[in-house]
Amino acid sequence: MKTCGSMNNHAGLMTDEALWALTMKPVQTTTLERIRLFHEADERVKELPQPLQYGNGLKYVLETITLPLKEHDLILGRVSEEVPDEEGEAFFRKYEANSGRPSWIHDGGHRSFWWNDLIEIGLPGLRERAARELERRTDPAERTYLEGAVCIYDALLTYGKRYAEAARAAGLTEAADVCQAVTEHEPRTFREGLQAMWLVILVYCALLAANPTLAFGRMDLLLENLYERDIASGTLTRDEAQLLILDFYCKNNLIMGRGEHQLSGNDPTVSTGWARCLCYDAPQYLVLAGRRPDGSEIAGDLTRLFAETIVPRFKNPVIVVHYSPDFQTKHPDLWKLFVDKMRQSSSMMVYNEEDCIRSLLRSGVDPEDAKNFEHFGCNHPCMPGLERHHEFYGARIGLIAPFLDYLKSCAAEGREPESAEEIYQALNTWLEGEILGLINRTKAARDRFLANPSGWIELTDCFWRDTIKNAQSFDSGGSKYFCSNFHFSSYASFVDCVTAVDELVIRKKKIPLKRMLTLLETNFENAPVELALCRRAPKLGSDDPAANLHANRLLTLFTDTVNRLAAENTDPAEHPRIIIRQSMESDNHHIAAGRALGATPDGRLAGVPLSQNVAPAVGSSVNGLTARLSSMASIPFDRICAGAQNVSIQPRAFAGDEGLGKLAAILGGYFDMGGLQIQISAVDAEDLRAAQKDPNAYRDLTVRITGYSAVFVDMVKSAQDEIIRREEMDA
Amino acid sequence: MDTAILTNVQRGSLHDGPGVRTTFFFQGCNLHCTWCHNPETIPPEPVLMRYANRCIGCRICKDVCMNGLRKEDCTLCGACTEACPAEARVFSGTRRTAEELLDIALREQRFYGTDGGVTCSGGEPMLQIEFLERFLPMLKEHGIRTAVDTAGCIPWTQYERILPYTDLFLMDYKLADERKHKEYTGVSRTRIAENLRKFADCGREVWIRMPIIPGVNDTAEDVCAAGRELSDIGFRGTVELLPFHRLGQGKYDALGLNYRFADTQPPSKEHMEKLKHTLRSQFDTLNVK
Repeated sequence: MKTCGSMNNHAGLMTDEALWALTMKPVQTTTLERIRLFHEADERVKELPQPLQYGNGLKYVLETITLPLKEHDLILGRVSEEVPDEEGEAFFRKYEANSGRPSWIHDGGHRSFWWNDLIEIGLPGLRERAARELERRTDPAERTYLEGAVCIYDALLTYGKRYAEAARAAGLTEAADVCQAVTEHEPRTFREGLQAMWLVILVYCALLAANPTLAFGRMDLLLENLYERDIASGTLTRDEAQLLILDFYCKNNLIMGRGEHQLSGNDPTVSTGWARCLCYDAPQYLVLAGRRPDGSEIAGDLTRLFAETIVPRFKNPVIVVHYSPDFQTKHPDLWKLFVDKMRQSSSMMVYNEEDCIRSLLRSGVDPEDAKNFEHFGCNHPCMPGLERHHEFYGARIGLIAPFLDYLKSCAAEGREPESAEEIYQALNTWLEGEILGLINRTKAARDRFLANPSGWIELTDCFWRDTIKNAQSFDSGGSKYFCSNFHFSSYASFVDCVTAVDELVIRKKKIPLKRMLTLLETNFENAPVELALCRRAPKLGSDDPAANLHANRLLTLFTDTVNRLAAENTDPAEHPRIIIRQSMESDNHHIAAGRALGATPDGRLAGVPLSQNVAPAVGSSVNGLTARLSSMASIPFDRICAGAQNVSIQPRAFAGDEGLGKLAAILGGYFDMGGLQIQISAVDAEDLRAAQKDPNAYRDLTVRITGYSAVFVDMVKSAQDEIIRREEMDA
Repeated sequence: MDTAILTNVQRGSLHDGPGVRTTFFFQGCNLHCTWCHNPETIPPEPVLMRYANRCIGCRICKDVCMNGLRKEDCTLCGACTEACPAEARVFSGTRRTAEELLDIALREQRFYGTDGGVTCSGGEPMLQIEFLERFLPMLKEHGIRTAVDTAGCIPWTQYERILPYTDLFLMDYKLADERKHKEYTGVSRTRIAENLRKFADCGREVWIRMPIIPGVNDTAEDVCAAGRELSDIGFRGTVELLPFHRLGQGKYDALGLNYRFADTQPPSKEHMEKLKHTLRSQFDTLNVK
């Protein structure tokens, strides 16, 4: 494909371009062409039912849109971006509603396509399958739905053919041949596989979906046959394959905007926003390693190549390593490679595969689907091509407020709780109402979609498992599962509060309940002794047996309740099946939730952020990293399937080969103990402070958020301060 | 002996031998190195430490003390450390059973990887040899690798008692010069030098660790003298040069002691690399880290 020198040159050009996009692309950049073409398409399809509006509208856009190319493109597919002039800005403003899209497009994120069919039968095969199903069907709504699907496939095929022609005209013959092949048959080479996926990804992420957190799936598994065949036949070298992967990684970053949707505070001077750039800061997850459905491990050369190619400063794709049992022992070199990339603050994380599978099974997912699970952003497992999400963040349960309410009710009755068990049961009863509410809302939503199962189409429908076969959308009968998430938010802070009350109020009786409530109301004002006592109470993260036990018992109780109520109130024979998944997720909500909450029994003052996701409260890990991880491993993680744990390390503590070995041993040990997830943040607080003072000098400083990374200087100051607090106190 | 007096337990230690380790710091030392960064470990019995920066001024300590907090009358009864809500008053040493320590090690075992394990450090752990003789075999029974960090000033027969259960000895090397050794550590180096020879031929892995103290032993001549002695006795193992640091200063304050090295700057990274380079180039049988 290339000589060594020209390959290095290619790699440099690609990487520089992607890094520029991530750190220097003007925040006003948008895709006016996209908005203009969809507006024109809207005029042409006004009278049609939605599936035909969508299919024909997309076809118009992909037949018309410009086809940007660069000489160093190996994989074809870019979008034309610009900083609008005054007239362009006015046009943008006029059509920015619905992120610049017509009303018949509602594609959103958190999707995990069924890529296997694209790789096995290709775009032409998928189109053929939809056309065959269309011939069989007589129901008008179903036929309209399938006609829409055929149109979407045609649109993608046209786009691919046009790109091939444009590349040929520009002298990029090899790339043109590959792209042409993708439109004529199933991918037969590794490069064709990547090209086919990128065309679909680009259209979805840059032209159709707002917040397109699209999962790329287990790409090492998807493409391993093509890769191994190419290598064996001598048509592809390892270096060439690596350059293709690098191009794929780079292109994912090129289409992003600047800023961070939760932490940039909607400030248009540092943040591009969804309307200007559909992809904006959406994390795209790519899963590596783990096991095949037959139980064998995925740890071959392609897995290694995907890992070797990770560029630490890139935001996308977010690499999710699935840790299978004893992975560090069975594959020590590959494990060290993953950890090496992590200690460079790469946008990646490790998830314990076994925990996730067990948790999915508990929530009612069939075993063959649970084994096939993937991840999408932010930090959630999913069954590719099988599940429709309803309430993604709807049931984010903060347990501290109901806990404090219960204490107040005890005080009002003139009594103190007799035991921690009493508190457990009271909270469990409260929780039942929340769970039933979520189940009922989820069922009602599913039934609304089922009332018109073929009336709506999106690109997602064309890359799902049963949509075409059932002629029903992925919102309804095209999905096997209809899922909502039940999140235990800021769980460690909650456990710390229960532990402190158990220790100080119930068992040692050092602070009477009424006095404790007064302390909380007055934010521990003029009460340094009691504040110190509350702060000294055992904390999750310090590996104190009392806190560990509360963490374990409470989660066991609550998750049993969720699973029991879900089983009692849903029918697994229904289609789609209701699934209530459980996680410890707060994303960045812990900052706002903390701001709105008064002082708490763990000695936390009013307004201070709560604990984030799975992690212990900042400053609680007083006995070092291994004690922290031992403590966290006391949580029965096979009952929840998601929750990020940011682990801050001082880069110098784990420098060199020796440092790598130590970090690999610690992280591997945690996963062997049943730990759920880890992502590493290796940055010095001093650098963060310097970046606050001189943002322009630190444009390339990225920090880990929740399963994705962000440019530090593009955040609002309050968010920056929280990151600094985390790095200073936990590293 | 069933119990040992420990000043601290450090989990996930990265600097006390190979890999990830759990380090148990034993109370009591028979050397009195003037730069020691763990001065609380020197006395044979627990000492009371008072951290002024943690004190919230609640005076609870005074309320519970039977002697009105008079230092000279302190009986180390522990009432004030138990009552202090801010942990401003703490004991440096606590008695721990071998079973307690084993539990901690077993909890940490998953993190040890292929190289890590338990390090018994101090202080001078060899001063509690009866405990080590009981504790180290317990660790070995559970497949945990063991290391003993010693200043080397203990009769060799004591070391022989734990040789079968010790995978690695971390032995300090302070100074080659007898006069300076006495001046800075309070003891002669005669026994240490004898033990060095025995360690070189003891059949166990031995790392020599030399703290580099500015103004004391931080010249090329100092490290070459050490290298020469090690080379002459046929030592073929690892030699670590450890840069001086001032992290122990707060402990001197808490103990009410004067810290002679309060104004001493740690050696630069470049200087440390230069010393290592010198040692490597002149003594190629040593594995200098």
